[in-house]
Amino acid sequence: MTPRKVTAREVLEEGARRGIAFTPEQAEAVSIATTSLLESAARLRDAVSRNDEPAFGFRVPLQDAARP
Amino acid sequence: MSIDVEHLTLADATGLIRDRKLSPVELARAYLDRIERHDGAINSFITVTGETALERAKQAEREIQAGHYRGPMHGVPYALKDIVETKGIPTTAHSRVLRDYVPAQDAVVEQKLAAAGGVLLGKLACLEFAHASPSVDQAWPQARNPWNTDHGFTGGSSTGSASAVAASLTPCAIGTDTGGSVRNPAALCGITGLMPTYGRVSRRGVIPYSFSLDHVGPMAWTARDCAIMLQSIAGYDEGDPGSLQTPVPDFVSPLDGKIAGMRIGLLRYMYEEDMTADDDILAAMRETVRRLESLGAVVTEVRARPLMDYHDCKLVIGVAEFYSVHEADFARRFHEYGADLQTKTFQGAFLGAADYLQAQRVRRHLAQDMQRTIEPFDALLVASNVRPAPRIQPKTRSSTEYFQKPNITAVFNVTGNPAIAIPNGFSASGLPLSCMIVGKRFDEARILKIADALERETPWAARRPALPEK
Repeated sequence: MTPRKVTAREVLEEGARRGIAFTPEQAEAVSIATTSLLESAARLRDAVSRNDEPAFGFRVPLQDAARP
Repeated sequence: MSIDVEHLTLADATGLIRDRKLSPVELARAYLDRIERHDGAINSFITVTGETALERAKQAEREIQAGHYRGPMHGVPYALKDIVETKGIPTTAHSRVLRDYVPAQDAVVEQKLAAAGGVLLGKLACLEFAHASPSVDQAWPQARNPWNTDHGFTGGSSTGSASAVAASLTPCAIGTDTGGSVRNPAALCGITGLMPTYGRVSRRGVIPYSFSLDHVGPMAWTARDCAIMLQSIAGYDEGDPGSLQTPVPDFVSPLDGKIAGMRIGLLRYMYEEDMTADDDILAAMRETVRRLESLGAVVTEVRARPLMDYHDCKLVIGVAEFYSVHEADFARRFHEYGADLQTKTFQGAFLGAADYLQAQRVRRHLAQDMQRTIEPFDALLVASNVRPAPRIQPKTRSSTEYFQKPNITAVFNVTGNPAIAIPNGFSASGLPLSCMIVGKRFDEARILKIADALERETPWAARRPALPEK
């Protein structure tokens, strides 16, 4: 999975939506850290891409299993 | 009577108090005097509870004189990381956000230490909410490393706990560990720190960083000291959803120095390949392997998963859970957070539910793999870190520079295994080195036994830093 990049502008907008006024420098720092975080998240998604386990006790049927 | 507490361990104090050769009141006074004399140089305490300490010490003395000895913590001083709630005593989490917070009740760990007759000396500095990077803009100064007060970082986040023990301002302390926050500061300050199995010690009343990664653990000079303290705080608590109902064994009696025949798995790839440790650390680890073999243990190299796998997992889970704790306060009281948390916390707003759930799914696989890896062994051995204490940076460092890179300690927060960091020599520049022994779940007794055996063979835990007076 290609990790999402979060720009400083997105940080400023998301902050404003929540009533937080980041400075441009803070927004840039959040952008860099978040992009790195989302790279980690993308690697984790790749690590468990198959739906082959009962995650947290609930199992979604596989498409193949629904075929006759 | 003047008491020299500098070289006194918790176990020493216990024995002397039990045999009525040491007055708990005089002991508490000796530590309070030493805090007054030296803490200005290392900033390890946020609140000193002198009156509480003397009241409890007097009560302990009365009880012991009357023949009512409660056990090994009776009359023994200790201190708490300032994210452990204490009734009627400020609990700040080293943050302006909680500067006026005075809890209405004690955390379970404090309830247990008080019930054991312990003497609370005070509340200790930490990184803000146990999560910030080392910063210079916080409500209280950051703790300094007693081995180099000018530029030695203490490690995070139980900074004050490690520096207070290393400076002999308390014989033991409580820390918390979400990615290494007991073991890393213990390692950098030359003391011993134990992260018990996830579920062994209640976290109720401890301000959370990350619900599913947080642990509470003892920090002291030796493995025996940690065993004594763990004995007092371990046990099931129905009020902590992570707590597990499992028997609490005797952690202290098995400490006899005998480990012949034990099988130790060496996770060398973690500090030689996935990360590259300093030469001092590599040499110290080779020496530790030789020492274990001379004691009759069998050391075999073994591999688990790459460090990066654990790092990704810990990072996503930790950031998501931290944000879930702070989301409301963060929007309302943004300017009261330190500069580092102002930027670090908000990453959590960009994680989705699937990110968190996938991280927990991967975590389950990593934890299962680790249990398979450790199964043929009595314990695993690895370096606690790859560098001795770094310099304190003059400016606040950004999150990406400091925490968003792999570390060895966090592996075992992800998998839930107990791990103890013990002194392992000194670098050429005189800073402490450390190694870590990792156990099977709920097998703290065995890693304490191995740690104790190693400590008996080395002089490291007996060495003390030269402390300036301020």
